[in-house]
Amino acid sequence: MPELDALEADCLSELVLDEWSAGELSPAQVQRCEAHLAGCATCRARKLALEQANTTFYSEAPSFAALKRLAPKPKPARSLANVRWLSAPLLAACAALAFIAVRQPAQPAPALETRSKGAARIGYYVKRGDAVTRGESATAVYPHDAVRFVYSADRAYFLAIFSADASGVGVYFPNGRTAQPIAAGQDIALDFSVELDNTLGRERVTALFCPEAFEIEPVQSALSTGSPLPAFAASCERAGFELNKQRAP
Amino acid sequence: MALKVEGTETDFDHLYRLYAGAAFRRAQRILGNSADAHEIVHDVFLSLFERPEQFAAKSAFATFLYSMVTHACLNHLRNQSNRRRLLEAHAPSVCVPSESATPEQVVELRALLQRMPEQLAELAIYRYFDSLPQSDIARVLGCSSRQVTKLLEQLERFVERPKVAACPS
Repeated sequence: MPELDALEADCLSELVLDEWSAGELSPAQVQRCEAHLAGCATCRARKLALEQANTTFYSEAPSFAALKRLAPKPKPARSLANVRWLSAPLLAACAALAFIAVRQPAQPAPALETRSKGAARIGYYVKRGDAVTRGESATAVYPHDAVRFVYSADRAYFLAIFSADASGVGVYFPNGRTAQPIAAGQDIALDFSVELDNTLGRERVTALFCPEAFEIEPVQSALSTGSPLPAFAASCERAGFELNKQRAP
Repeated sequence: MALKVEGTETDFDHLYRLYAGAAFRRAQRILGNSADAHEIVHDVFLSLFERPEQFAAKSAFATFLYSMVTHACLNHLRNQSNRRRLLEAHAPSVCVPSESATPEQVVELRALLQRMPEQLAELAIYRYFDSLPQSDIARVLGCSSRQVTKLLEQLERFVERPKVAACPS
């Protein structure tokens, strides 16, 4: 990687240029940078390009105050009646759904242990071909199975559903920045299904039911890095299960 | 520079004016499209506004922000992968961060980031997307250059080196 090595030896990194632009460098550091720039046409051009990119960004982007007002309002989850592949007989069966009990995660998500102090629960159904079956924690599922989440809650909450497997922590629900409001109810299916990819192994699915709206990203980041969850999570209900993703027989 | 991340919306607007351009540029390069990059900038600054204690002033703000944007982008890429699993059509336009990297290589690297352990994925972004020297990577990660050397060795075992070109800034 000759370009990179050359930059390491001689040139100002983009981080240093950003620090300079933000006024973070000491006078001595600025002096050194200026001395380098005086003799390096490449870095002069790079600095100019960064400044031009910043100017373009700020001329097009809204102010922070305006940005704050752009946050989208969450939409409520749909009820079971809207589910496509859960047939009428199955809807009846849903009433008997035994939701998945609390278990320790087998994959990385150390800060999000499931607990069950409240009445919020999450479960799932698996559709394989034309057959739909109730999922149990750690039941074997296969690539291309479709998984649909259902929840029960004794009150309205804001909900987000996270997945954690060997590749990291992702978000199944919602498809947005903030947790979505859900109504109280039993056996409510969320309005999407997940087609499992070819990744094999254990995947921990965790639902966070919170009394207030919350940003997804800080929770996901905390889970990804194993750091403590934001303080608000202490007031949330957690429930989850494991998907045991295996090769199809 | 000792920077306190707190205060009013006006204070944050000043912070935003100083740093959001760099955050956007990096997010755009990592994610490959400006719409998602704007979303990352929005999320990061809103998150900082709501929870300013995230910045503990243990490092300079620029290095802290590099790390925060990197994690946000990695999460976004993984979420995008989940959304693809939901079979929702989503095909972001691909920008090429380097003349020496083909669009296929960049797409391949983004896909690889979703499968890498978190720390290696973060390192790969600093190395291949930001082209940061080892000393800067150590500053952003908050570890020693020696640790970065070891991590780079792990990274190179994970990545097929000839297929990945560095992205000059």
